Amino acid sequence: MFFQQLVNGLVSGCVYALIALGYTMIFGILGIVNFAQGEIYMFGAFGAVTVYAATGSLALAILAGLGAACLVGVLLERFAFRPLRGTHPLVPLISAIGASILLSSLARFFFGPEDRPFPHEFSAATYTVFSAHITGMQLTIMGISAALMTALWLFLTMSRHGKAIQAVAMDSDAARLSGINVNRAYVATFLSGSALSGVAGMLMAVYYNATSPTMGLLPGLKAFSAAILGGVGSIPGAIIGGLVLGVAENLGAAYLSSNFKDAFAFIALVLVLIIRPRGIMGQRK
Amino acid sequence: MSAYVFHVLIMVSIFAILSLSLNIIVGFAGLVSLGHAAFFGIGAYASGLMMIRGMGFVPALFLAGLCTAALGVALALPALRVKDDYLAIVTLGFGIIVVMVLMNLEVTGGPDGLVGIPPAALLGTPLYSKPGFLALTLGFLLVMILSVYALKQSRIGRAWAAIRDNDVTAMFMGINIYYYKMLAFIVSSFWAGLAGSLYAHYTAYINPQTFGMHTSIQILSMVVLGGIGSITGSLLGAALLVVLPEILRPLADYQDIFYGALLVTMMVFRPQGIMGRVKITEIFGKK
Amino acid sequence: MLRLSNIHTYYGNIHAVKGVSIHVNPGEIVALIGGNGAGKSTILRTISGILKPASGTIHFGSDDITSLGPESILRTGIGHVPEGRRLFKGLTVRDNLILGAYSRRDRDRIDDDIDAMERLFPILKKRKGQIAGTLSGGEQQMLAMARAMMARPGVLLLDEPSMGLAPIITAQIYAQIKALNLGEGLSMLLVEQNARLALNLAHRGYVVETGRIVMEGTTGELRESNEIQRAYLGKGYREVWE
Ligand SMILES: Nc1ncnc2c1ncn2[C@@H]1O[C@H](COP(=O)(O)OP(=O)(O)OP(=O)(O)O)[C@@H](O)[C@H]1O
Ligand SMILES: [Mg+2]
Repeated sequence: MFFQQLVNGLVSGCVYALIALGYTMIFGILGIVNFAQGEIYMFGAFGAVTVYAATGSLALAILAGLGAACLVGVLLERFAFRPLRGTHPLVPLISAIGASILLSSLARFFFGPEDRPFPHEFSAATYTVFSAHITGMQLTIMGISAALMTALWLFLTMSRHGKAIQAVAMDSDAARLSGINVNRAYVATFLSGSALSGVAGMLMAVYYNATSPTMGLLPGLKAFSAAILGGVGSIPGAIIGGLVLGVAENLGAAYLSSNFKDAFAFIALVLVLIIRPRGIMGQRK
Repeated sequence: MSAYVFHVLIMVSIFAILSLSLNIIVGFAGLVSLGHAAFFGIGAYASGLMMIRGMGFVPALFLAGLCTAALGVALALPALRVKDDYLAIVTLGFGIIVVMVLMNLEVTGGPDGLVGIPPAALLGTPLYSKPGFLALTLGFLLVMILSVYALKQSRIGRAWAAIRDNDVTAMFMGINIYYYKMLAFIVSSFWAGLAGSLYAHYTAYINPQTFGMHTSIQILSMVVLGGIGSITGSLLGAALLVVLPEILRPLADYQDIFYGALLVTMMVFRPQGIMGRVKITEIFGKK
Repeated sequence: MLRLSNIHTYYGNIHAVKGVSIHVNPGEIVALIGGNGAGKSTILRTISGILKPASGTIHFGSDDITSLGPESILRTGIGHVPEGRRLFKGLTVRDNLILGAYSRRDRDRIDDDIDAMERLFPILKKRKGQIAGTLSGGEQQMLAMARAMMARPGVLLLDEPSMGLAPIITAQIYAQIKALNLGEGLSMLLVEQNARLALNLAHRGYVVETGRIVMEGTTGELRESNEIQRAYLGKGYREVWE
């Protein structure tokens, strides 16, 4: 039972971590919270489901999901955030909230309010470790998440462009004086954050065999809690925060009350804010 | 006038109280709350439950306001340790938890909600007529406008303005920012609770869905549309966003598209809202 | 080679630079001196494109760079070492240097240039893998200059290189600035509050007060001027008159 919940928790934790990375990167570089991160996740799932239903090709579906998520991310950056740079913090915040509502209601308009299945048969094999049953899909989710996180880490710390993104996050004017195009860095950040969320959306659509216009709301909020839990702006923090939250939530549901499963994330959030507002990995400014 | 027109006017005045109360948090103190409908709901449930158990309308109304204010404190205690985006998420989470609790408790009737809430009554006479109830809500709205206006002009209002413009500077000016932010939450949640009570006794039936995120966003849209920090703006925002959906009833399914687009376009093109004054323009325009 | 004509710059409705015309000739060090808030940093930020002038023109060689963005201006050959160094504090010394060369297309030459910078500032070689934010003030100033040099500029804008440094470190930094000027023939526009320091190093100078140029001349002339002696070189009335 315990190990089973641990595995289930790690699986949802991976998804929260992928979305939390988007929040944390965008916050780190722009100082704003992209409230629509959960909707990017949802569009990733819908892009894949739609194309899969039409073509039956998994490869095309994945490409479409990535494309949809990235497109939404870039449009958001260009139209909902870029015009608002340098304004009172409430302004981009409200704009982001508006964008999030707009996107989920547009999805309902185009795809209808009902759940849509993502009927794909993945290897039904189950493995038993420490009395926990791990499905092939769960392994896939954990494997893909781990690979993406590693790739992101390598990109940011090893490549020239990744370092440039970090430089913009640290001091955007100094970055401009070094010849770094900050707008391009913002777009690159939105693109990578959106791609990760889009992948998370597709994985969950397959895992639960369902997509719906509101599917992004709770994972989005929980991932944000995870980002705070880990310390906003910190990449390792987002990963740890996501995993901790996923596990805590599953254990809480199993041992305390399953009716309040979705509340645990917020309770954890409030606790963190009281005990350690900087988050697990957050640094003193 | 037909009963329908009275109904719309009653809803306008209840939502005017709500948007004005949210404006205290957002426009005066420069904070943000995405869980305002939860206060509305707590007021409604508290008042409804008390009257079902035999309490009179007037005590139930004020007790509901006080209960809500107490919950406002409970939320603000942890929430005010953070600002801006964090605060938005904490309040949003709070809103979700409140709905979740209302859905799962037995006393609140779970997802079915509360039925048979007695009507409002003054001096022992129940207010069954719509014009009578409208007079009651308008009376409350008037008292609220006057008191909020007085508050805005007072020392408290000036402290809020200083915090909104720059809380670090305000702190150096010797303003106890935590205290004043807390005060904004208390006043705001008290009035939202009263609005909830009025609503419960008007409709006689309430359920948790009414008090979810959708309504929170709707109230925020009213504030933003009218003009952050503007009292007339909040009233106008409430009127527009109650009446427009009534007129556009055939398009009810797409209301949220409209709210979302409204928030984004207002922020990009006119962050000061319809009623924004020059001063507000400076604050919320480009720095 | 660098020429500003009648430049006006605003922050919102604060008029910070009011009709400034200055120029820097090839190989020349030009000092810009003036008190707090005079507008010196604003002039530099306008040249490097961080701020847009409301009117006036800026030419570099034969190019009009007035309306270019900072990346393009850097590519035409104007480097800027900002006030307060503004390093990428969480990155290593080496990463800061690599990012300094971000605008360059000849990437195979970057390693050679890093070597050259490490010869000029030997301490940077020792600190190669250290996080930039943990360097001492003097080391940070050297890294900031080296980072700007990595773009191979023809003119270097230097904003208060001596800020917050002990006199002995300042002397070392100034010696390195001079070496860059002599060795590479690099032109410089040097902002300093410490007028004595700047006037000793530079060839010519301008005095800025409340957004305007109030005096200009060779450093010899400026040093001789009574007003300068009184206001910027810290000599009392008595000393000047005697
Ligand atoms: N970001 C800004 N926003 C608004 N006003 C500014 C800003 N930066 C500078 N100013 C104003 O512009 C004027 C010129 O400032 P500037 O920084 O150019 O002065 P400075 O000569 O470099 O002073 P210092 O020697 O202290 O660095 C000052 O009055 C300052 O208050
Ligand atoms: Mg300066």
